Amino acid sequence: MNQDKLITLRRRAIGVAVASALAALGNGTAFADPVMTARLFKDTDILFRDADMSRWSDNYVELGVGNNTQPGYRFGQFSGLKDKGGFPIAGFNWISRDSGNDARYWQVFGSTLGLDSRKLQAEGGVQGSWNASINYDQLSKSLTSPTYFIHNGLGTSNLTLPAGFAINNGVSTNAANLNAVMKKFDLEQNRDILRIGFSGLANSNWDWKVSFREDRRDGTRLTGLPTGVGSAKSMLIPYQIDDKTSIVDAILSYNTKQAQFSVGYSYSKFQNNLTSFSVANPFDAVDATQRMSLAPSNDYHQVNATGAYNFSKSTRLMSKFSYSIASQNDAFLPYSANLGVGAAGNVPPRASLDGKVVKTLLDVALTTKPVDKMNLKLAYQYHNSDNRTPVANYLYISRDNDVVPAGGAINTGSRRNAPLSTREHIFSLDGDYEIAPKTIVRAGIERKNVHYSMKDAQYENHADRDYTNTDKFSLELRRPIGTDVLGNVGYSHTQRRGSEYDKNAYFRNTYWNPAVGTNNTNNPAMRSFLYQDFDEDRIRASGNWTVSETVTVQAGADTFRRRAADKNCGTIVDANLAAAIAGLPDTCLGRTLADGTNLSLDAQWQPEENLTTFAFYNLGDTGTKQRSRQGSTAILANLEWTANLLNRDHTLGLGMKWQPEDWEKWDVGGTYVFNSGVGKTSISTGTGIAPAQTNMPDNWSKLHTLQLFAKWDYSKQITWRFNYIYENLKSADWAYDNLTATSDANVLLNGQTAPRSSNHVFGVSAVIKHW
Amino acid sequence: MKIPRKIIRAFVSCLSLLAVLGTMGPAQAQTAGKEGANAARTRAESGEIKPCIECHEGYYGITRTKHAVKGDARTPMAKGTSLTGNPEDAMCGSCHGDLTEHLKTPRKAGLVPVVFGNKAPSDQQNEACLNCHQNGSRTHWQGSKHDQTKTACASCHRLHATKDPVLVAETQASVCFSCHQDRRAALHRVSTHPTKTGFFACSSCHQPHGSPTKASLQKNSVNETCFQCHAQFRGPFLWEHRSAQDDCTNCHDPHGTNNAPMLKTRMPYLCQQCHNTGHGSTAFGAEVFPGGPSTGNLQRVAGSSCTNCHMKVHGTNHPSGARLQR
Repeated sequence: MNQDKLITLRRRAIGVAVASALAALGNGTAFADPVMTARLFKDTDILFRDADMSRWSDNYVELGVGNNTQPGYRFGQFSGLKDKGGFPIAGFNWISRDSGNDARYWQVFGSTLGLDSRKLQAEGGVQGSWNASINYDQLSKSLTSPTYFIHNGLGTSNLTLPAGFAINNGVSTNAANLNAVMKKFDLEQNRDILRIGFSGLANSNWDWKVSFREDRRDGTRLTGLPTGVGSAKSMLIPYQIDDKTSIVDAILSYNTKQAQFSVGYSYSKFQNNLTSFSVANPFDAVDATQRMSLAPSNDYHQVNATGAYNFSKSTRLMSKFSYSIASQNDAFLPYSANLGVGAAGNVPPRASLDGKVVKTLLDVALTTKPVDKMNLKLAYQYHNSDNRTPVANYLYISRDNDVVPAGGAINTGSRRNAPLSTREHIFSLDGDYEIAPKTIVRAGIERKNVHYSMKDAQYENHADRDYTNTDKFSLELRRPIGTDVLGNVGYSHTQRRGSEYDKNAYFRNTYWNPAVGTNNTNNPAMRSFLYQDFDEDRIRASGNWTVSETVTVQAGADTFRRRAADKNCGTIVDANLAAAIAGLPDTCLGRTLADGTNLSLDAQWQPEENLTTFAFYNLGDTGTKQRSRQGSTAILANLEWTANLLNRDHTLGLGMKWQPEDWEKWDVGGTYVFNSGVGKTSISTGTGIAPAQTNMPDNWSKLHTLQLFAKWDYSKQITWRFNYIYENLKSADWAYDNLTATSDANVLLNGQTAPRSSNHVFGVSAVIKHW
Repeated sequence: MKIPRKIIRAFVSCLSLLAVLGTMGPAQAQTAGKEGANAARTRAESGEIKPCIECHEGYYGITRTKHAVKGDARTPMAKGTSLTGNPEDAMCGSCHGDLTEHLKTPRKAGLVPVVFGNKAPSDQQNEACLNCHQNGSRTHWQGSKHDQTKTACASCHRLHATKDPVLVAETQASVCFSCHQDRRAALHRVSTHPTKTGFFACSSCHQPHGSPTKASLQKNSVNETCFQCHAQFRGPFLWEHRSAQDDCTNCHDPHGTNNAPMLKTRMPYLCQQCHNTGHGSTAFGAEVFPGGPSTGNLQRVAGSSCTNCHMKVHGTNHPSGARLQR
């Protein structure tokens, strides 16, 4: 079945679903339940290996062993099960809270302590008086395996070439030397997250809360790095991570039945212990060192106030005010690592950025019930982001060249930063009305107005667009169908329009060229999807069907289509352009269409009291279409090309939980989930593009996950747990497959392949409880 | 396998502090949780909610919840608003309303004023909860998405369970997925947050009780929410990337995708949806692969694609980083 047929089939399915829902809506009769959101699977767990809630409510110590049959970075990406071999199973919970008149309580909890990803928690206090808590999470993230790199010092911030390495311009021409020094190095990142919190009640009206969080990261991640002779040479390399994010929150609240107010302060500091890393250049002996900056340390302060007041039982005013300052002032690196700091021209115009963004936010909402069966909500939001970062001219040097214009002279390679400020006003009105017993109609309108500005003497108030207005209208109907089905169908339309585009705007390259005076290097017909005009339609339908006392079914469909709606780009009128640009495409460039569909079907069957089974299926489908013209400002129609991208995946899940009647000491269960995803890229090129380009191969993945678990209450004090996990992942990715580290002439790759793994994990543990 | 000594020291210190502070509460003898479920059952059957538990057998777990702590004057059990006249009976009435008639004729339907679950209107159920829980994260409940969709508090929360699954990171998502099935499917894609392993709950980003933001986020915007864990991208940078500065979800789908790292679509096409300049305007097809006629363009497709060179897509502070390359 080809893609078009699938899309047609998909749309017919949605059409049938919506039509059925609409038709059925005319058949409503009294129904006992207006609650839309049924909780079909609340008591069964489809995702987690053993969601037995006694893990959090009973006292126990768990000890055991497990074995993973294969290494697999993807399988163990977050779980810590990335290595082959045995591992300890350890966990505990000790809780004290059940005295009627005693408000004291405490709990200590630990899980997956034998793995690299683990949790420890402790909490205690006197309920109604104070609480203290401390949590520690260690989270390991394996990123790649196997991957290969040429440098020594992998995992540090100074990558050097092996002794005797022959520097040579080009990957292909030097492939033999490069391959000879390749070494395996797997990328992994670790997070240690510590949270400490205190809260208390001063009296029945006043309470307070203070919390602290420290998130420390270390390890290595992958990055590209342009280097060598000619801007086209680059390589993939690991870089060291060593940073810390600290967050402090403090809130003071005053609460009565009629009014609730709180004021708070938040402080967040990102502290990078590394400012840059250096890499010996394997392609050029003259520009011997390449240096890349790392994320600068930054600070974030925020004060906020929240308030709500009940004018009556049915009318409530809610508001939030927030004022925040984000700042960053790390010292700049020199332009080039291959010249001394202070060498002619190698010093930026400022020592540091002194970047600052001040954000102000005000939200006000009024909810009321003007008549018994009607609810209304009127809301206004004001968001202002004032970017006060200073502006200056900087030299642009694509890599660490040993040639920097003398005295930092402004030339055609100079760039001026262009901090953008925005101001938003959002008005909305929502309401619902119960037009008949249990039948509710909901409607809403919203307008979002966004102003963009860049305040600088050289480009006063220039931006891609000065403003955009986005209007949304929505309508929804929900009602019971008979006594066993609850249906819901909704439609919304959104459209965005805005001011004329400024063809000299700075969006496209995020900077301004002060020497040239314009920066129109993007095709002027390009319309970024951030700002482009569009029309969007969305339809949703869903239904819950209680088939019988033992069978329930839930179905849902959601589809949207967003079409670019910019004016004819062939007739650009722009006072900022020195001369008219003729021959631009009639249809604007950029993303011309985005659409998506989600279909889901869930069913649960409980044939007997102790046996629950369930199944689900989901189709997820998202696509985009885009149009471009080859060449910076190409106007020739035969250089036009289009790309249609489709991401589709099917997810199927099956599961059961069973407590055998004859083996009442046993709980057994299992889940199986299959996900099959495909990414399709269709290319169509104009006759002027040579050679013509054809469709990319499909990227795909198939993931099977089977989990089985059993719990045996051997005695009052001892329970045995048995777990088995099988996960099989196969995937294909054209960015990596069939490519070695030296397959490309201009980029030194890392030999990475699309992830594939097949793991069996067995675990057995004894739970000692109620000691 | 390593746990920093600093963390262990901090943890042990705080445990000690808790142990000391724990002795500063009311003087009554502390009943340890070791009695577990059996103790809860014993307590339930010995008075207090005995009249209820005789028929509603599975609900004795409530005696181990916060709601049952009589030492906290705010709780339903402490308020003793039972209208049976006997404060030792049917504390359940604090939330379920006047149970006098129900206790007289328990088999007669319709005599419990407030019933939780799918059998009763959500407004009525939620009013019982909001009587006490209108502050804090619930301040913006009225008119929130879940309020508008008539979601009852009890649709997500289990009030009678000793531990509420929606308040545990490992099990929260399965509660949310009972309605948000598309998010459940996304979690089985190749590139996701660590939700399956219980290190990342839905409420890490979302405030299910409502907030002024679209998608009911915990923070004031998408980016502010993401920067809680990814503060390295906060800046301000000398050279900003507008799409990243505007909204992380312009490029990423945080619920999971098959395009690592959680990209909505593949590079280089994702980048080319905004950039049509120089080599960014080039059409890349299957001809770029080794042996093809356009293999010179492989460098812009293979490996990390555009970010082989323009790796600083979240912004950079390097004075020569205008093209996000340094």
